[in-house]
Amino acid sequence: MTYLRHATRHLRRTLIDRVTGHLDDLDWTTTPPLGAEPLTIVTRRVRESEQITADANLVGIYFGEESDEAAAELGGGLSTVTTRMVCDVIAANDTYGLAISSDIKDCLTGRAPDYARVFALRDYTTEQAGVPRDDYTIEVVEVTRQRPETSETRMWWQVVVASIELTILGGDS
Amino acid sequence: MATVSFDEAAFTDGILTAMGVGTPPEAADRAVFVFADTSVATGSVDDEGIPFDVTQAPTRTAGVEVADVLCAIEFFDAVGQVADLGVLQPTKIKVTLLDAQYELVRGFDHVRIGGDKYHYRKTEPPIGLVTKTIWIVHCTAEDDT
Repeated sequence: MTYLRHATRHLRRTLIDRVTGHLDDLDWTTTPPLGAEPLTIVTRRVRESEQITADANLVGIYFGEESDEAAAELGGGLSTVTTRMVCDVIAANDTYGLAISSDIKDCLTGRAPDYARVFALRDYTTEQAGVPRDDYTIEVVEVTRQRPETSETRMWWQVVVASIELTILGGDS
Repeated sequence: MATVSFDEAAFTDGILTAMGVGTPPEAADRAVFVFADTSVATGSVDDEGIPFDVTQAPTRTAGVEVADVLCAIEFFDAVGQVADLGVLQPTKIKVTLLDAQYELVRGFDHVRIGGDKYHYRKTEPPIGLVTKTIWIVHCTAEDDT
């Protein structure tokens, strides 16, 4: 096992690339299905002073807290870290919101073709596309879709929340 | 029918004079509008443009600073109750600008006043005052000092 510094940055990027790549493949960002307007995807924290205009459909991806590293097996050198990925879907209507959030959920659960629930973390140190690491494994433990009850906005809002577990092989490097 | 004449220049000068009256005489005490830093990097970078390779560093350019902008600043003190997640009710300021002055600072990241830093939060929808447009910008203190 080779120590990967700032593994959290690589973990987040791996998950972001996975979701945005899937939405790209399904043409949500170019010529979307169902007559929808192209999707805007925001994958970083945006300063209030920045102006991001989303005329129709918007997906914002961010991450929650991260747990302590816990031993996954006694003496085996496996340890796990858990975190939470949140995808806010702000859509032009309820149907589009449900469709986009369903596609995100299918990607994360591995229900969509060519996707799995367990996959390798990608190391982006040298390659913009990332290089898979055999010793860092990501598992999407649970994926839920929620609909916040709000009457403050006309936009239709869905939230996909994924519990993520990163397993690191070999504590001694 | 009688017509009402409107002297736009005198009107604007009057407002700007009133704003000038409230401006601190010492240049160091006046508000400075600061734009966000920018950074450029090559290779594999994240969404902030920061390299994943820790041996690389982006080329960073400090944000532009705009000083001596005539505006009105109102201060709203608050009980800055600190909780685990931060300050719940930070101190705020409200900055009122005419359209020409607003264009000088549109898109700023924060305002520095007397050593304190107030982050941009939002801009109210513009309102008209005869031929002038009024912009009201809200900012929150980074920290209560």
